[in-house]
Formats: sequence, structure tokens, C-alpha cells
Amino acid sequence: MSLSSFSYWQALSVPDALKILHNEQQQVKLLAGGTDFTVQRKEGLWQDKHILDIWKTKELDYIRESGKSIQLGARTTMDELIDSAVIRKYAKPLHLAACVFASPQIRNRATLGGNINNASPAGDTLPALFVLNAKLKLSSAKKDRLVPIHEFFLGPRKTLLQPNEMLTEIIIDKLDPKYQSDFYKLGERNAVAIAIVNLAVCRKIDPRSHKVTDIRISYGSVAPTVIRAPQTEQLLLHQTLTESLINKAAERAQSEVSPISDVRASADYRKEMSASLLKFLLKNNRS
Amino acid sequence: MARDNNKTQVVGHSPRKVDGVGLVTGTAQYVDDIKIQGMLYAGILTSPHAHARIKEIDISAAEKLPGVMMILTYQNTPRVPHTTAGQGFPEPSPYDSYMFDSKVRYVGDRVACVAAESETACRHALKKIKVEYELLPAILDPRKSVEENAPVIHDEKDSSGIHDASRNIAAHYEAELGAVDKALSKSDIKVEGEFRVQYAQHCPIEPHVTISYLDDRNRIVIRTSTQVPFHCRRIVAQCLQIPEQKIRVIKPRIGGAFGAKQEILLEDLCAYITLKTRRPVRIKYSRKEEFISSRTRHPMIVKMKIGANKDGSLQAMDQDVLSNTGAYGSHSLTVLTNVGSKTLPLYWCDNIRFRGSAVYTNMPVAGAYRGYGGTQGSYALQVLMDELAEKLKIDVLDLQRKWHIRLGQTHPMSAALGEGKEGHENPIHSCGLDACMELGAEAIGWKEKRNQAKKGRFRRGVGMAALMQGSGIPNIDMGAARIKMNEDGSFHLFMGATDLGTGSDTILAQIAAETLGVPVEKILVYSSDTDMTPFDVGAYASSTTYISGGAVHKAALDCRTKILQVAGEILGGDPASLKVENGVVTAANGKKTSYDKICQRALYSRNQFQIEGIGSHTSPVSPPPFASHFAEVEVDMETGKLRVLDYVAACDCGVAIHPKMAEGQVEGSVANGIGYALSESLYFDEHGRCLNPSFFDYKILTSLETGCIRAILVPTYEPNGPYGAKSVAEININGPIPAIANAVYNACGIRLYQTPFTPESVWRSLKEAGKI
Ligand SMILES: Cc1cc2nc3c(=O)[nH]c(=O)nc-3n(C[C@H](O)[C@H](O)[C@H](O)COP(=O)(O)OP(=O)(O)OC[C@H]3O[C@@H](n4cnc5c(N)ncnc54)[C@H](O)[C@@H]3O)c2cc1C
Repeated sequence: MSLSSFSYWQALSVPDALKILHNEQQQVKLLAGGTDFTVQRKEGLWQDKHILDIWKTKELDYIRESGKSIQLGARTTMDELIDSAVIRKYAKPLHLAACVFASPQIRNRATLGGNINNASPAGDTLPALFVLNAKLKLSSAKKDRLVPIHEFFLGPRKTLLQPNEMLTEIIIDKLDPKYQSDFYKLGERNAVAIAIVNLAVCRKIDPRSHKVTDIRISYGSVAPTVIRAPQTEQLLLHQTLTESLINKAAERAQSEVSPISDVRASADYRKEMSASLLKFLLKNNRS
Repeated sequence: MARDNNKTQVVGHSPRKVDGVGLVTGTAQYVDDIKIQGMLYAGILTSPHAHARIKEIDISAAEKLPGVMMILTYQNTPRVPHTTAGQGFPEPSPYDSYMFDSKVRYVGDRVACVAAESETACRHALKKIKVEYELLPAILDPRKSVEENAPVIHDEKDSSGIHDASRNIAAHYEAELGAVDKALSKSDIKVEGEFRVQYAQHCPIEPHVTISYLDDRNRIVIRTSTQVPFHCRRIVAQCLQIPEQKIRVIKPRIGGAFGAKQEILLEDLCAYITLKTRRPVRIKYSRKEEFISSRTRHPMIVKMKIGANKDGSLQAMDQDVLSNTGAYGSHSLTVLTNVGSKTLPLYWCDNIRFRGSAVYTNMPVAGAYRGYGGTQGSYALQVLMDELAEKLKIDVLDLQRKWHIRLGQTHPMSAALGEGKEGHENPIHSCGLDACMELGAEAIGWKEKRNQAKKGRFRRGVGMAALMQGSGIPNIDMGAARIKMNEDGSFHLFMGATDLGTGSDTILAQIAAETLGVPVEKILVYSSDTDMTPFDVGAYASSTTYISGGAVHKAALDCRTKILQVAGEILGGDPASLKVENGVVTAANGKKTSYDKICQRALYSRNQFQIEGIGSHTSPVSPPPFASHFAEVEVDMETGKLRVLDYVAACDCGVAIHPKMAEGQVEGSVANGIGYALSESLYFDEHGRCLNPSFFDYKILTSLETGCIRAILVPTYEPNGPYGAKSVAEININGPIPAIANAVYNACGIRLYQTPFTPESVWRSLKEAGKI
């Protein structure tokens, strides 16, 4: 790969890892499943970094349920997300995102922490985490802090994470059974494709009044970071989901996205798809 | 060859591949599986500009790096105009390529080559070469190539064979039967369209790779991943200006080629460095280089018109082709003419015209790619047939059935238009197209699905295409084989034919085994070594089973005659009356002897000689295989995303020598073709730089997209082929684009004129047609 020499640590515990991060400061790059890191390093990135491997940090590998929330260790893989009954039951968008993620081989390695920290605007789990109101636990040798996911991303590959910190835990809201939720990924092919647009939606509707009592909409691949669509959500909140309202919402959503053109699709198409996929998910009554 | 009425013992069965166990257990060796002591690693510096002159090239810093052995540029290498296309001699492609030139003509063109003690040293040296370019205006759009005042891409004096260098026309061809314009103007119904196909790469899993070294007699041995070992020897000799006898080319196991390796892309450099340094050298393309610097399919714009009368009779067919050959004219003429010659003779029509130009652009170089023009031509022709049937208000199958060529007929267009020149009379001796259509239609559920109501977000439809290709190039392609008998009753089969993973070593062993009357395990195959095996043009033009197979059949017959002579001596009977079964010869009187005894006698005791046979084969005709493809698709009206739900490819390849592998060829070509139809595409920026040279964004199909591909082999007997065989390798890549396009029309009423049918492009078409 390269001629430059570098150190490689394998952390077996979180305190170990945090100590190394503390001592080495700027010089260390975390490595989890490596499905982003190795590709990027081959392309010339991170050549000057030492490597701290947390793949074997088993204490970061868990899915726990408590009260109204679920805690996930940062090292949890996509495959583990798919297999988890808790995720399937209480965090369906995350389950669905993991199901369409890459390919079986990649899903065995790709971690949730890696997907978040890679900070790609197309990361498939991110819209799901946004609508699940995820909070990220960023830990350093000195302290832990909790950051809501919508504050974490500053731009493509840019986050609030400090060099001495790592993501240890992701805490998400459980969606009670009254929520209807969904995730949709539009890609050029079914496996191993970066999303042209991805979208997660969850909503709660009062069974008597048929009014929307809670709604959360999040898009990927249509802005420099994954986004929520607050104006569109506002438009729908406390309303009945009629056809004309849904059409209005779809139009509003188009004004909330700011996509670019690339080899996968044009900005135009992404904009249009932001609207039509939202329509589709809102009309869809799958719970 | 007459039809063999006896049941065959080996042909038509599917024995284990002769190289199968070695391949799956990892003992078989590909080019890069060997390391030679003292081997140098070479790499290429490529042009970052689409069109530029090299003003200055400074290699001094690079040369000084430790481990750097040699740096090649246009300044220290022989300048020999040649073509990289591995074709029969003299090649129909222009001599417009040089080992290096002072001008670069596309992003990815050769600038320099470094050979060093390690890959790392090589990579570092490549970065240290300083090049100053004088940028020239570049042509990225083939329609601009012929414009007045367009920059001239091949302005060098010493190239030859270019149709019109001053207008950037690499090749041009016209052929007309009857009077097309007049017939078109008189036709009751006209259908026409402009069809465009994109840049695509072959994506063999093994990229181009070559290792060369000097043998103990100072000859250069080139171990290379090639489809054309003999052409490789000839072209390397030409480039290095040394006689062929100085070169030995060996083709080991190959990890796929699909046309990309019918080119001499690395061998000249590798051999030249070996010659100069006397060291073993390895050079290979990275995946990125494979995408950018190797070869691609010719992108084309095919304008086509069909005129017909109300009774459905075809009055005129007019095909007008603009082919983009990229920076060099490799295969430019022959792929161009095959657009017509592999499609137009499918239907009866008195007035047919083909006109086409292949033009230079400052884009990646196109070359041979499975389908070889037939893919591009079938798109236009088969979509227009669908449209014509619609206008006539008849089932397209009825239209196809009525007008396609059949047994015993000779299509005049086959004689008017061949491969790069006039063609040959090509009477049809076998044609299973009707059966292909019938079986395919039944398998897909044509009647019910074609007419079902279409509504809602997800709309389904079915479409079909009828296809033909050829089997080898008539009177040009030649194969030869030699068979040597061993004293245990086994045989060595030596042949030039080239197995690329295609299975030809097995198929040709089956032909030898069948003819000699032994099980296939008795045949030891050694192929594709220019020192050891007889000549063969190589693996292309769907020729191996048909042409090389014909040679093996002749060699085996020759060998068998000699075996029976000896057997006659032993058994005391007329050789003609002897019967062979499973290596045992039986005389009319019931006396028996066996192959081992026969050979032992010939080698050790009486009238001693080596029992062996030799055969060479060419063919005056190129029997077309026929196929009929059916696709069922689902269109997402919201996103434009297509899903291929079901795909049936019914193919008449004559007698399938190895049915399982023939089915594999059908399925592989269809998967390859669906990829080209839906997602495989190279994209470029406004400077001609490729935007997606990796498997991440160059989307070949995964098993999740291919859906269900069903191959149906429809047996016929081709009297000109060995044991009734015709070709099967290429034809089936030509079906997916038109079958899917026609299915989309059936599903939602839009015609698709440009590949790939990505979600966005389908969505745009839906929008433009006012369907959403
Ligand atoms: C073939 C292929 C297909 C892919 N398909 C998809 C797809 O469909 N959808 C999708 O969203 N992505 C896809 N990806 C991208 C990638 O797989 C995901 O982003 C994955 O989740 C990354 O996880 P990882 O564990 O492999 O991360 P790594 O590569 O190990 O790390 C990624 C980044 O996160 C940092 N990091 C990792 N863990 C932590 C932590 N605990 N704290 C702080 N920083 C951390 C690393 O330093 C690095 O910068 C694909 C990648 C490949 C190679």
C-alpha cells in the first residue's frame, strides 16, 4: 500500500482504546469493519495516520433495550442489526436500511459506528437514525458527551468528533407499535449500490381523529449531510393525510433538499425523487 | 461432414471440464501466479489530457530512484506504426498505433513505462516523471469529429490504412442492394429511429497481465493473458522489429476476456524491456487502467429505417451507423460492418442499405467486445420490428416468422456485406429460429402477458428479439491441431485454440475423443503455445468450436486412419471394416485389439512410427446460430427503475458439444447483456476524464439483478460444423437491449432509444412521453 511506516493497535477494551486516543491525539485513525477505511486508504487517504483497530472491542458490540430506548454499541454490524428482533420490532427503518445495505459480505463487517463516522451524505443507516432521534455517545478518556445525531454532521466527511474521542454508543427512541415507519433506498442496482436517494419516515396517527400526532422525515443523498425535512413535517403535523396534503408535502420536501449531480444521478432527478418517494411512503399503509 | 446417425458417446454429453478441478482447487496457474527470480515490475504513466503534444519529458529524477532499471518513452523506443488489434494478417484495422508517441490522444494513453525492482519503486518513479504538455483541442463527441476545422487526431505522417485521417474517419463502408430510397418512399408504412449505445468495458475478473523472460537460448518467452497468442507473436515481432522465431507466446489459464484480450496492449512493452534488460518483467493493469486504458465497446449512433407494405412485407431496410472508435482504430472497420452483416441478413427484403463511418475521438479506445457490432445493430433492428408489428396490428412473432431467413436460403446481403469488406455466399444449412420463438414464447407466457392490462405504479410487460450471428470469419479464420498417440492408448491433443475460461479445451477434447472412440479422459490437452502447438487465429468471432473444432476433427480422423492401419496389420482385416469402441478395435470376424497394444506395436516392434494426425480447417461459410429472446420486466412508474423479472433465451447453436457449458455461455452472455442494457456505463467529464473507473460506480450486475435467466437449447444439425455444431459464444449478448426495450414499451408505452436504461433515463422518457 504505502512505504510510510505506521503503528497499529488493536484495542480489546474501551478504556484501552480511549487511552491510546488520549496519548496519540491527532495521529490516530479508528478502524472498525474497515469497509470504508481500507477503500479510502488505498485511494491515498489516511496515509500519515496510525491505526487503532476496534473490531475486537467486543464490549462495543451489543443491542440493549431499556424503557423507551434502545442502546447500540458502535461496533454492531449491519448483519447483527438485521438479525435483531428488538430492532425489527421497535426500529423498523433501521432494520430495513440494514437489509438493503451493500451485500452480505460487507454487512458482516460494516458497523453502525463506521457508517455514522464515515459521514457520507448517502450513508444508509443515517436517515433511519435521524427519524429514530438517535443520540450519539462520544467518549474520551476524560468524559462522555451525548450529541443528537442531527447536530453531529458538519458536511461530507466532517463531524463534531474530536481527535481524542470515539463513538461508543448510539441511543435511539423505540417506536411504539402505533407508529408506522418505513425506509426506502433508490439505487441503480439492488446490491452494492450507493443510494441515489434514501429516505426514512415514521409517523403516528390518532386512530379517532385520523390526525398526524407525530411525524419525522429524513433524507440522504440530497444535501451535504443527511437531513430532516422540518418544514414538510410541520405541514403534516396535526393534519389528516389526504391525497392533496401529501402532494403538497411532497412539493415542500423538494424545496428542502439541495442535491448535486454526479455519476449516479442528476440533481433534477434527485429532487423529483425526493418528492415522489415521499408520496409513496406516505400513501403506503405498511406499518 | 455428413450427419452422424449413430448416437455419439462423448459429444452432446457434459463431462467434467478438463481443467475444472485444477481451477477450483487453485492449482491451475494464471499468468500472475508465478514469480520468477529477478523479475522486474513495470508500470505505465498515462496521459491526464485528452489531446496534447508532449513538449518535454524529464525522466532524470525518476531514473535516479533506487531500484529503477529502465524508463521507456517515445524518445528511446522504436517507432513502428501498427495496430493493437489481434486480427488475421494483413489486419483490416489501420496502422495508427505506436509503442509510444510524442502525442497523446486520450486520457489514459501511454506516455512512459517504468521497470523497477519492486512495484513500490515503480510507482514512485512514475510519480517523478515530469511531462510538459502542449494542450490541443479535444473531440469528445463523435458527431463533431467530421466537422470542418475539427482538430485532426491522427496528423502523423507514417500511419496507414486510415480511411480519411484529415476528417478523423478511421473506417467507412457502404453497401446497397436494390434501390432503398425509392422503396422507402413507396412503402405504406415506415418506422425509424436513432439508437444510441454507450461506452462499456468487458470487466474480465483477471485484468490484462503479462510476464516475459529470456529462455536459455535468448529467445523471449511471453506468458500472457491473451485471446490471440499467434497474432501476439506476430505483432510483438513487428513492434520490436525482430523475427517471429525469437518469440514464444504461452497462454496459461485465463480469467475471462470477452474481446478485451484480442489486443496487444502490454506484451510489446514487457517483451521490449526483457529484450533490453535481459530480465524477467511483469506488467499488469490495475482495475482503473483496465477501465480507462484497455479497450471498450464501440459506442454508436445507429439510425435505422424500415419500410413495409400493409401486408407486412418488408420493402426496405436502411442502416446508417456512426461508430466512435476512440483515439485509435482498433477493430474500427470490422465492428462497423458487422453492425449490418450480423443483423440485416436475418430478414427477406429486396432493398437493403448499410452505410457507416467509424470516427476518431479523444476518448478511450474501442475494440472487440462480445457481440462485435451485432449488439448495436440488433438494438435498432429489433426495436423497429416491434414497432412495425404494432403499426401492422399483428403479433411481432407473426411478423418475425413470416420474414426471417430459413433453411436452404441464401441471403444476398451476406455476399454484399461481410466483415470489413464484401461478404460470401452464405447458404443456410440449419435454422431453428421458429422453434426458438415457439419454445421461448411458451416459456415466458407470451400470449397472456403481452396482452394483460397495464395500470398502477408497477407495470409489467414482455418483449422479444430475434437474433443471428456467425461462426467464424469465412475464408479467413484458420485453426490447426495435432494429435499424438501414446503407448497406453491415450492421446496428446495440441492445438492453437485458446481457452479463456470458455471451456474450449474441454469441447475440443470431446471432439477428439468422439472421433477417436475413447473417453474424454484419454485426451491430454495442450493448447495455445506458439512453440509447441500448431497455428490458430485465436478465440474470437465465435470461431473456436466451429473452426478449431473442425481442425481437431480432421486431426482425429487422420490419427484414427493410422490407428486402424496398424490395427488392420494386427487383426488381418481391411481397415475400413474395423469397428472402434472405447479404445477397442473389433474386426468383422470378431477378433479384437486395443489402442494400447496398437500403439505399443507402432512404437516398439513392427513397422515403427509415431501414430499421429494433423488437421487444418477453414470454412467458406459462417453458419449463423439463431436465437430468440424474451424478457419480462417491471417498470416503476414513480422512479423509472426497471426490474427484469424473467428472461428466456432460446438458442439454436446446432448440436451443443457440451450442453452444460453451452447453457453457461447463453446465461453468461445474457447477464452481460442485461448489465449493458441497464447499468454498465463509463461516464466522462468535459475533459474526457473517466468518472467511474471502478466496480463501485461501474455497475455490472450482481446476482440480485439478473433475475431469472433461462437458457433453452434448441438443437439443429449444422452439416458444416464438427458433429453438427455452430457457435454460441456471442449471439446471446445481442438480445437483452431490444428484448428489454420492447418489454418496457409493452409495459408502459415508451420507446427507449438510448442505453443504459437507468432509473433516471427511463423516468425522463416517461416524463417526456407524458406518462407521469
Ligand atoms: C462494497 C461496498 C459497499 C458499500 N455499500 C454501502 C451501502 O450500501 N450503504 C452504505 O451506507 N454504505 C456502504 N458502504 C460503506 C461502508 O460499508 C459503511 O459506511 C460502513 O458502515 C462503514 O463501517 P466500517 O465498520 O466498515 O467502518 P470503517 O471503514 O472501519 O470506518 C469508517 C470511518 O468511521 C470511523 N470510525 C469507525 N468506528 C468508529 C467509532 N466507533 N468512533 C469514531 N469513528 C469511528 C473510522 O475512523 C473511519 O473514518 C459500502 C462499502 C463497500 C466497500
